Amino acid sequence: MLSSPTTPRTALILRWITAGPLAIIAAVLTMASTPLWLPKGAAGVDHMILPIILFPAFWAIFFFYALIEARPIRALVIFAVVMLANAVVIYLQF
Amino acid sequence: MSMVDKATSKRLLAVHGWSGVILGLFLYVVVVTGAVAVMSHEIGEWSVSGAGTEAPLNQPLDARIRQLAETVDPKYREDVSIFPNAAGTIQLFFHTHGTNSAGKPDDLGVRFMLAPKTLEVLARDEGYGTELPDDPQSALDYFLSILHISLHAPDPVGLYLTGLAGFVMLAAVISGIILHKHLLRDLFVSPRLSSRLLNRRDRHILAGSWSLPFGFLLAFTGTFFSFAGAIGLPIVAMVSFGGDQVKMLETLVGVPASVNKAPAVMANLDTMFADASRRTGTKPEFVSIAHWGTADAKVQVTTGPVESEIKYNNLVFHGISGQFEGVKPDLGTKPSLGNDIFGWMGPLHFGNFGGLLSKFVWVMLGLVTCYVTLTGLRLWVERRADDPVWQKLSRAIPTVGYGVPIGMAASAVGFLVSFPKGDAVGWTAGGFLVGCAVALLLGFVIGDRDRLGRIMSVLLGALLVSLPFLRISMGGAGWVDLSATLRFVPIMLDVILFAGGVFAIAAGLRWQVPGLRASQLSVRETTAVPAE
Repeated sequence: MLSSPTTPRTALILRWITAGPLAIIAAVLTMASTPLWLPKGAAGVDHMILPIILFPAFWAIFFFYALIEARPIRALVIFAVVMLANAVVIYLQF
Repeated sequence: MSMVDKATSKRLLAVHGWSGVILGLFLYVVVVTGAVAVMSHEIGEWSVSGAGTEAPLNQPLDARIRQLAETVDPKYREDVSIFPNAAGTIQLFFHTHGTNSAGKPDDLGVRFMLAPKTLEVLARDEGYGTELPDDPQSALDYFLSILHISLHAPDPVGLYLTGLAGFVMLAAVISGIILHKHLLRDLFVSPRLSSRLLNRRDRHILAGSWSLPFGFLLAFTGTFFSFAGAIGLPIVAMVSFGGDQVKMLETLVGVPASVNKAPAVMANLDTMFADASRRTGTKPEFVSIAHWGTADAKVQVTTGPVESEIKYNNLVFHGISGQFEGVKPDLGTKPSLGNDIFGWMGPLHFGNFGGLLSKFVWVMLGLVTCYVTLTGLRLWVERRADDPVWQKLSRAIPTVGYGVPIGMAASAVGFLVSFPKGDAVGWTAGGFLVGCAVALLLGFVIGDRDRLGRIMSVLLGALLVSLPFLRISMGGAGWVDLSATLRFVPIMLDVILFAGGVFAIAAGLRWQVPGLRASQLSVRETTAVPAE
């Protein structure tokens, strides 16, 4: 499936979706789930403050991955996996 | 050699160019206001002709604070904040914690404004911290700071907007790094004089190459500041504390689990402030007292960075014994990686870690980033000189490029004219709006882009040149008085404003790239410029 050909128009739309709204959603979900697995550190605050500080970096990684990935459909699948994994980690907290 | 293949390079170039075209002017507004806001404290000091005292928190305050503490409702003595504004006026805020009319956690209490030296009560206001009247002495520097932080848009829309600018800048910087085929060579490129367009392109590349690391720093830290409160804290509080942001902040700050609230007499505050100064060699800038008048009272004195350090210091004293208890991290009660990184974010964004020198460097780098943004846009439209749609956009570049500085200079005019009459807050904003309206009007009326740019430049220069004279003529201290009392910041800004104004007027009257012959100034003869 990942190697199935996509038309240039479909590829463009997929890139807009992954680099646009999905990059932001994936960054927010990653920031939200990171405090649940990151070590608390010596003062017990690292797991809360580091994800907030790293939020711009999370977004930049997802944004540029969506642009650099040669096959946009694969980017879409990887985004879906990342978002699902983060959602599961958050769900297990409640 | 580019880091990516040709197709990816093409995509990144499209993102680099189009994001700049669509949001470049917006990004410019955020960056140019930020470059000015770096000097907000100095601008505040200039606007009121210098601080009334050099070290406001090192003057005898203890007796006055004790006296005023007795006049407020005991529930407001839970916490006390003490800090000076640029005029040296002390803000003393006795408060407890509550939820304001917007449903957000806020400080609730009584705020006193104390005149420097005499400590006379200039104002007494009661209510939620964010709803108290604005400080008229800080009207100009506060207006300029908020213009950069949130563009004066309602919370949290303003923060989202400036955060978006951070994302755009981050995308432009990272794509610029990836796309750079000859970064080292471009750092030392000599702008060609064979044509104006090539000259502009080379200067854009030169300025852009040198400002890449700074651009990354600004974009990363700026995005953090915009989104930390608007998105980060609520989300992390939701997953970690069931949405209780107050509980999360208490955990982050390191509030003790239990407090002995038995009444006790506070130790002398002046002695603690002097001790903090002696230990760090810097002036106290902010004081926070927790649990005033109880056995567990704590006094936290924040001072500027020590010697080569970047971060500020929080010295904690026991409020009753007055004993120094140690240096407290900003976050948590013990040193940690998270606290270290958090502590760097502010100084790296505001450039306030090395006094005036680091601030000047940050202002210059900010202006270089503005130059890169505007020249990038200008190159884009000049490569499309035959397209009438893009030529309309080309007029927006000088309109916004000069319009925002004109608006900021006009806000200073509004402040200076109205401050003696006591309505500085409204007129500072009014001056900005009038300045922007005039710039917009000129942008609509004057069709020729180059003529528009020259007129705007002269207008900006005239405003800047007039500011020092206006400050003094409206009752501000003259240079002799300022020198006699060692208040040099207003003099320094007078000189910078005057020199900047003269430069802008000269640039507007006869701007020409040195070395270019008149015959080479035609844009159309140089349309064959590479797309990069």
